[in-house]
Amino acid sequence: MLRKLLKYDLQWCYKPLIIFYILALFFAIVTRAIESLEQSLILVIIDKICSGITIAMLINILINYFMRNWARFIKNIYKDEAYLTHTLPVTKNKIYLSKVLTAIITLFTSFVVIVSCLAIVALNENSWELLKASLEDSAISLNCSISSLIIVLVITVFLEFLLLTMSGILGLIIGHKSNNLKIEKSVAIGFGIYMVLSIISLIVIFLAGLLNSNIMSVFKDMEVTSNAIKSIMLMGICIYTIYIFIVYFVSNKLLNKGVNVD
Amino acid sequence: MELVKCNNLCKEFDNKKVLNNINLSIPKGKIIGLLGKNGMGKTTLIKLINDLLTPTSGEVLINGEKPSVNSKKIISYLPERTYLDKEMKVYQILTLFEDFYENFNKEKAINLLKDLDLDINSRVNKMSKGMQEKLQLILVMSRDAELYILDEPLGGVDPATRDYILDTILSNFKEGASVIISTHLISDIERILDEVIFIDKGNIVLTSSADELREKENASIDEIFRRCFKC
Repeated sequence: MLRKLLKYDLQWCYKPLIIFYILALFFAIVTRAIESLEQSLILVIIDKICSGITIAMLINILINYFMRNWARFIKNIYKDEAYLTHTLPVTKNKIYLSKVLTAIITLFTSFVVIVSCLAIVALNENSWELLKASLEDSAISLNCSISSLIIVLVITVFLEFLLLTMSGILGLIIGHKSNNLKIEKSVAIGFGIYMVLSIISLIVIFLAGLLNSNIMSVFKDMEVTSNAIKSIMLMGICIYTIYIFIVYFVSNKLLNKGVNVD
Repeated sequence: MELVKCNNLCKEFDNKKVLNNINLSIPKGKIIGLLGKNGMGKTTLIKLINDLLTPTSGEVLINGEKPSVNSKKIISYLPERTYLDKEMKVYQILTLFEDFYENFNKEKAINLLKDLDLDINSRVNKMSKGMQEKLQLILVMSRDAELYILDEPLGGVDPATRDYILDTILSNFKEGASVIISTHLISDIERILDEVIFIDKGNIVLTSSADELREKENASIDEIFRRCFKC
């Protein structure tokens, strides 16, 4: 049943996202193709327009990723379509898990498309050498390999976005329970949850700084050492992972207590 | 065992009681009319049976169990509003029902849609509201369920469509199943009812066999309803 729920959730979320993926990739390729031609004033103008459109499409992908996932949740759980969702022979756990997996999959593909587009537009011999050199510098200063540096960076950003999405969903659940889904309050609650969790993260990192002088130097002297960055990034991954599980279980529990569909 | 049993069921919205201590049993194999004026708690009761609302107190049991995956497998529910994803095409909705409901008979649904001259490639948002309601009715009646719950299936439709709806219900529900029809348009359905439940201001005011009630009061259910709920 989870597979079937996931199929319909993914279909719904990907409908506009696929269009933006194609447009972003198309304009990225066009931008790159124009840049490879001999430059004239007209081509420079077209190049600027195309790269502008590519950036707009990339922003659209991110906005649509959030909006589609949240809209799907509201429509399926609390609006007219809830009459079908809640009468399907599926547990609420599976319904919620399907939404979370949809968010993870769509976020992953959106990341891949965004990185691919940026690579198509900006990656050439010079920029590759520059990127490689700066990555090597960072890796050496952090005492790790380039690949592990990239993996840690990507995981941190990925978890940050996923936490934001799931905080939004928790906001919708609490918002619905407390104010019958007045959307402004639900958004405020979701944002509030995200902010509170971010503040707790800072406090946890500060407390860790009491035991680690490298981390404390960030708070005391604003001195960002490579050891501090490494520790903070690894702690960040752990904290975000814990948050995501907490938000997941709280949302699941609240949803399992029952819904009141308008 | 009763198919549905409500024990001291209460539902409040913002401290306002919508259902007040409902005790009710729905037997197997009967067509039951849930009758009451608008806003008296019919839809709330139905939504509680379908797990769309959480009781304030009391409980609903379906085959002795609280609403769960098992109860959803045996209940086929037609709400008073359109619950389909309007971006989907009819054949996609048929596949969705086939995917989730083991007791959904796709062939039966396709045949009923053919009778309506409804193209399965048409999109829901391109269909009229009346056609969307008929599509939902077909989907619901194409399941071999043990309990069909139809919330206001005759609301806001012309007499010809009412006949179509009643015919579709009568000729398609599974033998031995129960049907709960909620409505305030009694004259149209009273001929098919085995039992009636009158609901008023969140209270069950009468439950009876339709024939016994007619005999006892020497009047039609419609007349009894009018007398009972006179403003």
